[in-house]
Amino acid sequence: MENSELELANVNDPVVAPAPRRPQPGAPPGERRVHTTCYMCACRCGIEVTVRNGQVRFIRGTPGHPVNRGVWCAKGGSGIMTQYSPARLSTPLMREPGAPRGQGRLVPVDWETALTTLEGWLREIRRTDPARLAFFTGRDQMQAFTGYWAQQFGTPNWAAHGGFCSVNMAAAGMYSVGGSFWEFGWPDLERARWFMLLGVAEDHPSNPLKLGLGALKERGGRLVVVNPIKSGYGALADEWVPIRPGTDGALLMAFMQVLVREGLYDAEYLRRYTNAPALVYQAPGTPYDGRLAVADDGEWLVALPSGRVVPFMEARGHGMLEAEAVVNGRRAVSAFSLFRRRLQEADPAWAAGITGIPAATIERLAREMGETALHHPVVLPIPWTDGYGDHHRETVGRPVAFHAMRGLAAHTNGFQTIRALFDLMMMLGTIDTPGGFRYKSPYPKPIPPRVKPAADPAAYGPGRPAPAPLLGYPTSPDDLLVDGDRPLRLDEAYSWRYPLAAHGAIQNVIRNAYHGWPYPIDTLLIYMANLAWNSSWNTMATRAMLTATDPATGAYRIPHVVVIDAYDSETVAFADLVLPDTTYLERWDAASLRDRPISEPDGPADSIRQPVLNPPPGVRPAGDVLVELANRLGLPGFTDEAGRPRFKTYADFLTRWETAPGSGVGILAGWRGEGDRQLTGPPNPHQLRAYAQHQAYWYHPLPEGLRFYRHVNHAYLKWAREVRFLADDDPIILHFYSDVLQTFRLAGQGLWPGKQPRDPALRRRLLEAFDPLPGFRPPLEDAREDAVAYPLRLLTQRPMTHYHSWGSQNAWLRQLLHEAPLFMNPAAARALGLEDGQWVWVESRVGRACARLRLSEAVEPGTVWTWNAIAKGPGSWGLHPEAPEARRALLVNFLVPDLLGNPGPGAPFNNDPVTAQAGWYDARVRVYPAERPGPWPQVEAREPCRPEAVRWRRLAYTAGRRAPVR
Amino acid sequence: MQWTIITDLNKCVGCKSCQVSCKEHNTAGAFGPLPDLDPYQEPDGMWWNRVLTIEAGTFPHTGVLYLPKACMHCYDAPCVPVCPTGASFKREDNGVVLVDYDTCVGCQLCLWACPYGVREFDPHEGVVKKCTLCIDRLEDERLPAAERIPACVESCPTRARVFGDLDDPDSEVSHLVQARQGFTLFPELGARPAVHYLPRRPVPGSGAGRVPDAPEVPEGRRA
Amino acid sequence: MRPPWSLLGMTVLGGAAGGVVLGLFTDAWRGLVVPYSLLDLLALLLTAAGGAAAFTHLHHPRRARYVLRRLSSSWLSREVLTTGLLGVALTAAAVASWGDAAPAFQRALDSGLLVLALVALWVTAMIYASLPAMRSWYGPLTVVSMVGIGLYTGWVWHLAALALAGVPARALAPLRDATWVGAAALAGVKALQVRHFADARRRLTLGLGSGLPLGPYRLQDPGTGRPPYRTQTQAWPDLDPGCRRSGYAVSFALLFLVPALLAGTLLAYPAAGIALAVVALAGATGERWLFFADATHSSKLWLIGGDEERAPSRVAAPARVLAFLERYREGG
Ligand SMILES: Nc1nc2c(c(=O)[nH]1)N[C@H]1C(S)=C(S)[C@@H](COP(=O)(O)OP(=O)(O)OC[C@H]3O[C@@H](n4cnc5c(=O)[nH]c(N)nc54)[C@H](O)[C@@H]3O)O[C@H]1N2
Ligand SMILES: Nc1nc2c(c(=O)[nH]1)N[C@H]1C(S)=C(S)[C@@H](COP(=O)(O)OP(=O)(O)OC[C@H]3O[C@@H](n4cnc5c(=O)[nH]c(N)nc54)[C@H](O)[C@@H]3O)O[C@H]1N2
Ligand code: SF4
Ligand code: SF4
Ligand code: SF4
Ligand code: SF4
Ligand code: SF4
Ligand SMILES: [Mo]
Repeated sequence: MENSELELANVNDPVVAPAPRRPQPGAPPGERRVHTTCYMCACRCGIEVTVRNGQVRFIRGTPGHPVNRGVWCAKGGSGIMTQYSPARLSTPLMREPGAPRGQGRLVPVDWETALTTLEGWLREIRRTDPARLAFFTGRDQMQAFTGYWAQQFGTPNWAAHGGFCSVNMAAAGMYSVGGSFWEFGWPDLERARWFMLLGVAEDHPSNPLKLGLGALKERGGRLVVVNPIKSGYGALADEWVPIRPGTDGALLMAFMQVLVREGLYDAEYLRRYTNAPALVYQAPGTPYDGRLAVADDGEWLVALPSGRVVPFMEARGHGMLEAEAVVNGRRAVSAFSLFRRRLQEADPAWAAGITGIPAATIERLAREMGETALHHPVVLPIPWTDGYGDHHRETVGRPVAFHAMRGLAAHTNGFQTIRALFDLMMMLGTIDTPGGFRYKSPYPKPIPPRVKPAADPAAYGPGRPAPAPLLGYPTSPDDLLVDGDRPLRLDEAYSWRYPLAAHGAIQNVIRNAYHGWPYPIDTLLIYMANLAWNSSWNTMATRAMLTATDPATGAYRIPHVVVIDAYDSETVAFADLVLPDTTYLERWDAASLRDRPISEPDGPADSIRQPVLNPPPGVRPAGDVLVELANRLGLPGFTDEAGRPRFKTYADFLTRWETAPGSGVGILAGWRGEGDRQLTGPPNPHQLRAYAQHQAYWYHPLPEGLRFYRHVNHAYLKWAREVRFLADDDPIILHFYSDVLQTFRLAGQGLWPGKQPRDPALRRRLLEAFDPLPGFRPPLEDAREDAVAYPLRLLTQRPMTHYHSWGSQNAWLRQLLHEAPLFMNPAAARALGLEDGQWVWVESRVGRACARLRLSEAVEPGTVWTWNAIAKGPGSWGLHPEAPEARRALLVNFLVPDLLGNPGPGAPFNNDPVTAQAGWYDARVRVYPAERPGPWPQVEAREPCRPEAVRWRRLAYTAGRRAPVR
Repeated sequence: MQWTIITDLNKCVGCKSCQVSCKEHNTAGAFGPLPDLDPYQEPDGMWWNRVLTIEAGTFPHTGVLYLPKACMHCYDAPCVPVCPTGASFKREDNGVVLVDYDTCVGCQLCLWACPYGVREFDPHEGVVKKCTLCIDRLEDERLPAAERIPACVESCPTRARVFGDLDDPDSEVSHLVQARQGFTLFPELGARPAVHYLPRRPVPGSGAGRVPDAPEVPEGRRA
Repeated sequence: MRPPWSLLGMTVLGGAAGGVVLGLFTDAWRGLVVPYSLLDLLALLLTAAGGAAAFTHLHHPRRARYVLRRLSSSWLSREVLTTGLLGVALTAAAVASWGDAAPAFQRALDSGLLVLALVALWVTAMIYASLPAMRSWYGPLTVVSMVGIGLYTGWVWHLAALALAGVPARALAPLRDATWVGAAALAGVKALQVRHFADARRRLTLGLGSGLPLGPYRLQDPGTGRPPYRTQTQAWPDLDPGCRRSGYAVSFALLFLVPALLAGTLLAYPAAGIALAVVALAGATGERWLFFADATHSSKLWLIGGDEERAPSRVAAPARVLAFLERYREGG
């Protein structure tokens, strides 16, 4: 099994030879260390893999790597056992002739058969109607590539997983500050004194957050955790704020009310760097109503203390926060005044009733954050010049930081909640300041970023590529992908129902494909997503849709299901065709600035993966397979005029692809040109090798003067334009008030001059959801009549040791966690007459499931929860069908409603009406004793791809010392 | 000299990185493997470092505590004198408590003698195994100096763990134990563990109406 | 604690051997003519069987040559020595007293054997009594009860053997009376010990173990979702109260009550000796099983549960039966 150096050089890429691997000085014979990027989760830490006699001996963090600075997590270290997982797919598979879909009855086929079959389907689709291909990806980190592929194919129906993940977080940030938390921005925990963590269990930047918390605690900073559940990071909280799920909007509004009432807000920051002073027309019944008043050149207008109304930049930060004026004959009021008015009702007592947090606590926390921000600034001796040309001798920051994730995002009111959080941060003056929130390159972007999908129905047609990237940020109803009221996309992204679905809406795909709404499709291509299990909702129904047939013809409603996966997931069982992928240790790959950046607040960074081991013979990297398919189909971006392939492999694509020919901007930013250029420069054929020689990452710490206030930092903006992060160096004034949202509201009112929906229900949705100022509205589930019948809210949390569904195939990780009981507050259990350890029914309005009850004082009484994605379908993942994951673990997805109303083509999904974010955490349930113990619903065991593994009684992995398994 | 690891309970988020990095290093290291029994059914394997989750108090005054627990490398290690063969021993030069697999008869008496439940029995090899303080890393001259620390210390993402010599009054670990009232588990059982924990600090800030967190350990509880 | 069958066998049989020697000793001093060599052989067999049981506990018998290395500190080393010596002495005695030995020699021999046997029993008991981590066993009560019950079992066997061998009732009566006294005394000791076990169980709290003063504490996760049942004997779950109660009732009955009654009938019906021996062995085995199964080790805190209620397992199990089976599954 020894990997000779020679063999490795050829691994899945004939063009780009990896760096020669010299043995480390002093290393034992047969041992070598290779740097690459971890893929045990989306954090993308740098790792150093020690290989001994061709087997992985050790995985550790790459010291000095900008993401993880040498540390690694439980998942990262366990990568060893994922590499040797019994669930690995080893050959292409096709559904056994005559076997029904969903039972895992798959037979091996060779690659040529598999690819020819798929090529045939795709060719026909592309020739007739490319939209009949739906290509959706889950946990992948190559969206710059897959998105480009789909665009060249010509289907509008591509997206990654953002819709069911955290699009609320991304979109609300992009529409407020041109960045967001998560991979787009970051709390400055090295300087913050006061840190509030809302709705975070683990988050994508997993090690960075832990490093940050360690640093905060080292300095004795205060940690406030807002979460219905106290666990993980919450354990370290100096104060735990056990909020009722879905109500953070109210809490944040009340904070702002106190801040405004007490004058504890950064008025100067608001005036200079946000549009809070901008004047808003008050002209009901006209298309101007609620729009920002603008000068002829489109610049916002503000009122000076003198009463004069001038363009925003001209006011040089003297625009009045509270002003009224008459502009162009229309009454106009400053955005801040409007907000202040709205805040009047939002006092702590009001919020206490909604959130369950005592008013006094809300009041105190607000004062704490306000006082810390305003009275204890961090001052760094770093001079800078702002967009007005004003020079600042030092950099002043507000040491109050926030970080939030899906606890806010995964609710159907999440977009506005997160808008409120960004407005709060603007009020405190913490955006991109020391101790506050800091952007990660290439952010900040214009608000919103200037990419839009092609809105014209005619843009998508047979045999041609889509003219624009498939995802982006609409700036008015005219940008929506609709034909009248009808969506253009299968997932209804950018439709009237989900206008700002900036990440698509993968969770809508299977049901719409099943209904053939808005149109039937031919092939569903799923890459790296487990859509038949833990990323489905109303799971039993979803599984039934995948196998549903047309009663007339007997044909499947979704004619072809193709799955590209590396492991034997629940979804693999539903495939007609399975293409086995390599593991992350066996392929070339990149974490690109063009995708989800791994940059740090101090500067841009990107990284590569390189093959550490040879893939098994029957396995090919998905990237290479997609490139080959593109070449076979002759997709324009992939082939030249003569139809000759431009890229041989995915590694080749990573190296040579550019945003436009000669643009100098490609997938990777380091070692461009002759290896002497960074960020921009001609493609360098030896770029991957250069990365491999530099520990697989590139990091460019910015000079001090370019690290803060970047949205308005002149030197930064100039630099960002030079390196093409930005198209111009105009200051980016933050959207305290969202004019863009108001355009949609006008469409709802029938006042928008361009595209408008006809259906009154659609209009009402726009009217209610598209508030240009943040506020609190209960999640949509709460508004239902049957809400009272299901008094408890059902949440999941990420376990730190598992990544979604794919952790449980790992012999080590599954020992750490293999059950998902229902956690409940003992007082709540007592009230229901329930006891610890008892089996209970958990029932939502779409179904019921069994779980074992576990009492915990660390959860708010109105909430029950379990670990995310620990439950497994029997027979999947190389596990014994009776494994605890199948017998004693609750999959809440069975219970999460997928629709708001009754099923049927075009029924509204349980999504945020702004972004199509799936409302996972809105699910409401009741809990009562189960008459019989055991799992329910009973999912029939499927055929595993490698049945022998379940008989392994003892595993003693020793990496090349002795036999690895017994 | 007494090598030890100190864990700051103010920083530990219970991520189990240390638990896994321990298994990772040792499974294929000089003292491994740490076998996994029924790895793909009802799993039950060997771990030398276990991160416990402990809850205290009642809602909303709930404390949640994570406690990584491996061998304490006790000064008066009770596992050593009971061992009939001398397979369990404490190194005189650095205080590390080790098991010599070549003389261990697998009687498991040391398992009983250890108050902390950190020794585990490998039924297949018939010997008792436990945390070695990564002695094979600490003393591996081939490794760069920065890597000559325990795997669990190196991996910890919150940097809650610190390695050092407790007998050296100027070491970081000694300073931490002194300054932060480092305490040991089960002091009353007389093993005098070298491994210490730093207790949760009192809640900083104004304090009015705050929700108390996990209880603090009073001064003087340290061994 | 998970009861290890090897140690259970070793302590029960080794204890009984001591009791038989005690019987021989009293016989010698009372000048009773008994089938001496046979009983001596019985003691020898018991010791050997116990030793063999203990040997199966060793996973590397070939390394047994190392086990005397820690005589200076390890009670286990000492046990190997003393029990080994006892075995040798019993063999020698059996040979030496084959046929008719002079009473004085017999007395001297039996006194010597008894001293050796008592030392061996004491040393064995000290293994269990000297571990502070073994909250239930730590302390002199363990020595008293272990040595006492060992002697008592052997004594009862000896009594039964005499009856079966046709020793007249008159000569047996004092032995029977001694059995009654012994049973009563040991029942008292055992009762004290049961209470001590309960205290140990109750006093072991996470607050205590972690140095954290406030409670109550709950162990939500021992690090691996479920306790390491197969790699750590201490992780054996607490007996549930019903099981414990009935277990003790049965073991008291079998060890003390029924033998006392049978001893009463023995004089009239010597054949009851068979029942007596069997019941006493069962009682001793049950007692020893509980001695392990009900014992609390300090590390149980970290492996099984918190303070409020230490459920059999934090692990959810689909059904009671399964949960039960799971607990009895040993490593493999
Ligand atoms: N180890 C690990 N890391 C992961 C993943 C994984 O599976 N495992 N998944 C990755 C992915 S895809 C994602 S999207 C991220 C998600 O990262 P997180 O957002 O950190 O993950 P969640 O588990 O969804 O955590 C949501 C938290 O919000 C809380 N919460 C729920 N509702 C509310 C509410 O209304 N208000 C407040 N304040 N809190 C609430 C929950 O209790 C929970 O603690 O993690 C990524 N990182
Ligand atoms: N109830 C509930 N449901 C949720 C959530 C929740 O919080 N609660 N969270 C949601 C969120 S935020 C997300 S992001 C989704 C995630 O849901 P998914 O995107 O479906 O993620 P996974 O379940 O990890 O599935 C990823 C698939 O990728 C495969 N895979 C792993 N490595 C590779 C590889 O190298 N190559 C290939 N080709 N395949 C690979 C795995 O085998 C697995 O089948 O779940 C959502 N579902
Ligand atoms: S946080 Fe994610 S990327 Fe980093 S080491 Fe862990 S699993 Fe790997
Ligand atoms: S690695 Fe560090 S933070 Fe994680 S459990 Fe261990 S000590 Fe705690
Ligand atoms: S199991 Fe091995 S190390 Fe432990 S006491 Fe017995 S011989 Fe010594
Ligand atoms: S913790 Fe246990 S094994 Fe480690 S030295 Fe102390 S007594 Fe021995
Ligand atoms: S010191 Fe080494 S052996 Fe001990 S717990 Fe840490 S990693 Fe494991
Ligand atoms: Mo996600």
